[in-house]
Amino acid sequence: MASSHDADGNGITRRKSLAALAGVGALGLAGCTSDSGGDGSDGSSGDGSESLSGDIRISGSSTVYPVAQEVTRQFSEQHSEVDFNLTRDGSGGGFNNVFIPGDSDMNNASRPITENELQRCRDNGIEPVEFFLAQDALTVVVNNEADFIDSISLEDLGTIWSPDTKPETWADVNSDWPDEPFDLYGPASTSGTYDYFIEAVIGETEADQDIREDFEGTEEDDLIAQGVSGNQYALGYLPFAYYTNNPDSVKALSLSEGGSEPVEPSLEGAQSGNYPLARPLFTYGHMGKIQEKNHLQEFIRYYINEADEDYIAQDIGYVPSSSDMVEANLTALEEAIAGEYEYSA
Amino acid sequence: MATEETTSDQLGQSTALRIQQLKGQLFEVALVAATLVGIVSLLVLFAQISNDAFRPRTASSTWFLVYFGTLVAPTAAFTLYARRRPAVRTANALAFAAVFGGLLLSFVTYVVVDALSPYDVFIYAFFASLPPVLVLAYDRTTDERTYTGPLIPVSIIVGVGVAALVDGPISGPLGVAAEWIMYFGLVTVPAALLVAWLTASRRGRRTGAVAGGVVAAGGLAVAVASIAAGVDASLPIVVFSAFAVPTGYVTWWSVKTNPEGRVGIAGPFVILGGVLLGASLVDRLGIESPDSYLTPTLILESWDGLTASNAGVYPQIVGSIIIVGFMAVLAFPVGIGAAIYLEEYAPDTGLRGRLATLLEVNISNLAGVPSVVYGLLGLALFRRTLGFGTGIVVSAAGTLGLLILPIVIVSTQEALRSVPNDLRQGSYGMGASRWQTLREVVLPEAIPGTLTGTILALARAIGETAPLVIIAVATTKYSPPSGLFSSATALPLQIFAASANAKPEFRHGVVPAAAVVLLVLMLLMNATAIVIRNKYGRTN
Repeated sequence: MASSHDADGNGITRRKSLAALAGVGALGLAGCTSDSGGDGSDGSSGDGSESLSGDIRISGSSTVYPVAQEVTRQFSEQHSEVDFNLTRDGSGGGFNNVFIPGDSDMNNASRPITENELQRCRDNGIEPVEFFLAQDALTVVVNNEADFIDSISLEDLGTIWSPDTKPETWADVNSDWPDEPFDLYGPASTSGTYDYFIEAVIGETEADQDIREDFEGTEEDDLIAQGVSGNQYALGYLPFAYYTNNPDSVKALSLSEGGSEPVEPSLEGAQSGNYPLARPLFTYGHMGKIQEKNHLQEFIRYYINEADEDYIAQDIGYVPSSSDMVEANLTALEEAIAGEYEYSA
Repeated sequence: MATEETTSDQLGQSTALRIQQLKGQLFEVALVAATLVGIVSLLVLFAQISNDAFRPRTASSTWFLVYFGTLVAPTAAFTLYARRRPAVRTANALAFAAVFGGLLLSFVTYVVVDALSPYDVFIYAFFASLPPVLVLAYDRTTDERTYTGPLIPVSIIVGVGVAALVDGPISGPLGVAAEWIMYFGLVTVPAALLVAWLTASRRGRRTGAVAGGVVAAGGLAVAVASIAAGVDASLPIVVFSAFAVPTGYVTWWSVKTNPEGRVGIAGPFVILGGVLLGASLVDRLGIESPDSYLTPTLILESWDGLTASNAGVYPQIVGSIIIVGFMAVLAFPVGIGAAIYLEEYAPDTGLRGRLATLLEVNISNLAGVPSVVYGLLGLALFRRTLGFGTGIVVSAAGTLGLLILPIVIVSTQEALRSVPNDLRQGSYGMGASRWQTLREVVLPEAIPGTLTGTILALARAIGETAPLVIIAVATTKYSPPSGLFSSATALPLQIFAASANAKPEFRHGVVPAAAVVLLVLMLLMNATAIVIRNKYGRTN
């Protein structure tokens, strides 16, 4: 049952008249409250570009989800006949459950595709086309009352979190710090953020675990921030996007690496490569479907061009890609359309 | 003084008595505390959610005064007036059901039909309803009763099959006709037939035909007026047929049959008028209303993950309604059928009896299986085995249908079990067969209980998140599902995703507001269940 009869012009008047009905029917729920600009926001359907239609399924990382959400929203305002379908399954979950079985057109990932996933893609006849989108900076945070610390080195962070050393108090790591026990918060082990943090900060360990286990692991950034703001001697790490949207709740530490000058967490620092904890975010396209679907090509072109825009930094809190990366992505897209792309790590 | 004279023995006895009493009182206090723990914590939770969603503290006090004057005070006065007069109360209840049921019905019909395309829905409705109507007409004219009964369900299935075959070729040429004609056929024609039938059974055939004709003519008049005013006629037609017609009919019927209580009809209009008057006053006088997150934008627009005031969940609401509606179509016949077999037909003894007992035990256990497991079942069944696409409406509805199936079976069994056995014996004694007894005696008695249980199961299904995540139902879509095989989306998924949004106004504003929307959907279902139960409870 395709909705081919749905004329676009009707949508607005219908919605308006529906608004009148809802205003009555919702009975004081919607009726009593102020309408903060309900109309007008969806009236901007572009002319001349209505020829694109079809569906696009995007699966994968919940870290990349905010970017995908904003870009698809903008694209669907211009091309109302393109039907988007976003799921949040996590990078690995998206690859394993949706992308590799051939059910989605694109899979977002907050890490590069693994050897194993690549192999299984190819076994299913799928060539993943890698597009670099943005970077996510990790922010190490302490309590607002923690006056004794403004910056920390990656090496000290490694000592604090490593299962081999497992210091009990701050003074165990640095004698300038108070003799108070640590209270540690971080993402749960199912998160891509956790994987990245371990690799960047701890590396290989002698123990058979990746990280000390006496920390509060949670999927919710909100809970990490709450935990850290509740104890003067707490320490945790968060995506920069969360910190930049909630800057008052916790204090961010500057980071140094190998005795260098400490760098404040900022998007500029991450973009220039000075800030040590920045990880790349990708989206992987299905080459066969890119060749097949005209609207998917157009959307990916839009997506990688938008990844360079300022709102990625200002509104979402990620490091936008650079014009060089956009060029590289466009080349990859052209190769994929021609069917000549081959992924190499 | 009496205590001095009592012996130590008596004293011991009365102490024991007092301890006994104290024990009893303590037990009662503990029970009251247990009751309050749940209710109070739920109330606190709801209060917090509504506070975050509505933010009443951002409103000026004049705003509260205006709505107190236009809405709260008149409603309270009317309720006080109606409380003492049973006739008024009856009319009031009827008018409430007609007005708000009508509004709800028009809203749901319009958004669902609009999402699925009115042409397709019309084709399916037409082919599914024409054969049984023909069979019924044949039945009436010839008195042939042997085959017509079983023929009705068969003809519906055949009709749906025919519709599926001809949908492609017909929907193209049909697209020439305006959309409102489809709505006229879908809503106005059934409303006219219903009014004609109801009036005919009470006032004779001729009056019935006139009443039906008036409704149909009214629908046409509304269409002509809307087109003349330059508005799309579809929604006015739906509102006229599903809201104005039932309201008008109930008003007319109350005035005719219950002249004492006719003031009661005003009840729902006092509330609606209060809301509208308050809104226009607030707008006219520029009074500061609460900076609520629960706005028309939230209900009528699509999602925006960056600007909280722009975020809407219209596709998700319609998606949830379509999934749950189709789920009901799938699960209810199967569940009710299974319950009837287990309760009325399955033998108690022998090998088949033991098999039936085994089934019943398993079904009771299935009702408690975690919903994630049903998600995995749906994934394995619909995606891997049947090869349906990822996260489409059919898979979502099927998975949730499996989830509520045990609940439907168990509640229907309970309802059937509560029908007194004397009724069955009486029916058998009058020579009725088992099927006749079931159809004429047992099922009508069991309807209220069955409907209550099944609608509560619907309310459970609409909030399910985990199974939908497993079968990869979309979190964000910008248009509602356009058919049963198009990809679905559901409100709880978007709430879950938004609760991880980096911006605090999403976590503490949009999420509670969307949760209120979900709760309202659920409460509306429960209210429907209660209304239906009360209605059948009264007539029987």
